[in-house]
Amino acid sequence: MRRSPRWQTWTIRLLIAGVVALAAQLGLDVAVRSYAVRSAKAAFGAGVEVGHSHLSLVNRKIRLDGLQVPNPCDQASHLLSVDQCELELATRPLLFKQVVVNRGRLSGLRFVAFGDPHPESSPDNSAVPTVAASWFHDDADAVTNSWFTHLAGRLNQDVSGEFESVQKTEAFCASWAEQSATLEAQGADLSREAASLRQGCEAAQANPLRGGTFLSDLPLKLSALQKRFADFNADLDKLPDQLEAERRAIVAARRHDEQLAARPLQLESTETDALSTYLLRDAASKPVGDLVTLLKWIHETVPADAPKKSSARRGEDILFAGCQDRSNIIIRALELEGTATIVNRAVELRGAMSNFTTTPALLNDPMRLRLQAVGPMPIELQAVIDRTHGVVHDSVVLDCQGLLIPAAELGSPDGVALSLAPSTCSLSVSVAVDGDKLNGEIQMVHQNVHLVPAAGGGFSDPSIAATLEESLGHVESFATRVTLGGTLAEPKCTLWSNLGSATAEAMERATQRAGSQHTRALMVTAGRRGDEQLTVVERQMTEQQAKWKTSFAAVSAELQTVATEDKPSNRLSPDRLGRRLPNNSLFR
Amino acid sequence: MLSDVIALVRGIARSLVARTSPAQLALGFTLGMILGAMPKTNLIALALCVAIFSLRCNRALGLVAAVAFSFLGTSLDPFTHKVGLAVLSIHSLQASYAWMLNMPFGAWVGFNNTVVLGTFLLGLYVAYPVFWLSRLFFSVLRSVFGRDTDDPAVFDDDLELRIAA
Repeated sequence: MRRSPRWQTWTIRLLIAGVVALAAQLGLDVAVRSYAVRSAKAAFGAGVEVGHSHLSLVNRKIRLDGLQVPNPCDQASHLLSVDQCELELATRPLLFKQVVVNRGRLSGLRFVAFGDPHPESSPDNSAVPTVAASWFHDDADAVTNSWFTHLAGRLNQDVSGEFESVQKTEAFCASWAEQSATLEAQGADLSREAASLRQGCEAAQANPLRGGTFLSDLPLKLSALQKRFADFNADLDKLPDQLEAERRAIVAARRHDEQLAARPLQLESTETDALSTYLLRDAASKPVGDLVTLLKWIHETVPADAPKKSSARRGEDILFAGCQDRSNIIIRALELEGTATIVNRAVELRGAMSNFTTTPALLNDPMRLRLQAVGPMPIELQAVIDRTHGVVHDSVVLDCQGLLIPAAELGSPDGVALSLAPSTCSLSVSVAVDGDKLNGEIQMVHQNVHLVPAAGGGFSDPSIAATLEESLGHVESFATRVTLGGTLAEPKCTLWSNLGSATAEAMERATQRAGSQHTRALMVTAGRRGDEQLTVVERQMTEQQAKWKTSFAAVSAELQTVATEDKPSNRLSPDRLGRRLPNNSLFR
Repeated sequence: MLSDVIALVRGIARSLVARTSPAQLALGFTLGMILGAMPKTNLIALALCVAIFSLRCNRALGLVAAVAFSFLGTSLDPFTHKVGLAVLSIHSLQASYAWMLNMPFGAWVGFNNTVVLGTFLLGLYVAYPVFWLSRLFFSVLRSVFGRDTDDPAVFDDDLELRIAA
């Protein structure tokens, strides 16, 4: 007869069974945690920290707490962290060595986008904008700096030499100098001749017999000299009229010059796209660099072909004809709930991810991610990672309104810089990756903009800065579009913005205004200088008139005296001398 | 000093051979050898492990052999991979392999891995020679160390069962 075991035996066996069950549960929890870490490392290429794990065989659920994915660029920070992850397992695929999660939920998701969580602790991140800046228009700086140089040159150009009034004044002064010299020579010549005549007259009077011929020609000579004196005086008398005529011509030329000065400066137009690139390239580099880095990471992490054999794995798994290679881990649907820090502002996000798998090349459906945020900063993100048929096709579509943009410095302080005060921005991103080719657009519309220019170099003049500020002060919003092209390895970016044209227009206006003021100042200076020159000429004319008239008056008086003294009755002539000779003189 | 080492070896040898027949020792060693040489993440390895703990063999020696052959197993991989690949490439068996792999737990068995199957087949191939040689070795060992003990229960495998009955 068989005896039933005593209750002590059953108690011990139950206790042992309980201990074994607890040990098994603990072992499964550890195994699940280890498997999750290994799978995440294989999937994302980065170690994942899991705080606590629990596998419920009854509910077929896995719960992972405290998931943290470290930032590969900065080990001190986390790329994303999740408070709790609950996954509902399908049992049948487990029999085929597959982990299929029909439904899951990630709660307490936290990540940072378009912001620098630890700017001081991530030196590697500083290289991203620098590299991304080289993807933009290479010649933008050269083109823009050339235009700045042109504007500065036009601004400081001395155009006084081109004024007609100045040219006329200069020409008149030069001709007056020649005329004055000619008059001086003529006057000196006349004086010399008068002196010569006077001396000859005195000599002839002293010796009438010898100077009889001279004295007989004297009246003719005197009248000729007097006529020359009269002509010279007439020339001298014309000088004031000549000066007045020239002055009138110069005044007329000044009016013409004023009309010319009122005309706008002939400025070369710049490539506004180059100016936009010059201003916005550095500000756009970081988000563009982050986006391309993310796409690169997705491209590398999610390969298009079947997963490569791990080097640590022994042997080779043979796939027989009629057998289907299956993904190791599939998450059919995963609800997401958490907080994203976008441009240093926390946003509550909800969304879903579907068809996530560690081997997407083996799945016929692409991975899809959809995130949505409501409230003051509405965001909608849709991402598709498609590796079906072994072809890479990723697309990211993001629409974000009311994004708060912190203050930024646009441009270079050496040339022209703009201080952009905090503003709001609506962001629209549509990027696709086909194979290795990158294609897409990023559009941003900044609103409630306040721009303060900080012009340096040749534009540091306060009047220019004031005009620039006044012109740019009217800019309340501007749009920017970055077109992505090229490949993931060598992206090419083209930047367009109406900020470039607005800035160019403001700079042209400021340059025109400052140039006009500069031209007017030059005109005033040139006019003053011309007046001074004319005054000098007038003074010289007056002096010359006075000098020669006085001199000629004296000479003329003397010549008149000589002419008066030279009476024919007192003059010895051959006839008279002959008549006094005796009739019997041998000389008769 | 030398006497201490000799005493330690004697102690280990006596503990190995005590209360266990050479056949049980040889069986434990053989199973441990096969288990140690092959990759562990499959049901074949689990089955071998269960066999070591279920069959009447020396479990300690089996585990020691498994650990020891774990280090040697990777050096055999090139050869076992070729063996496994040759077997898995038999054309006439492809449909059977596929059917087995598509069965529930088929992927867990791990027979489609070249090294797993190659190591297992190689282990089976050398199992009897290893068993025979190791039994001979442990018989010699028993004759050397077994004389030291006066315990009548020594080598009596069925003593516990008989006592329980």
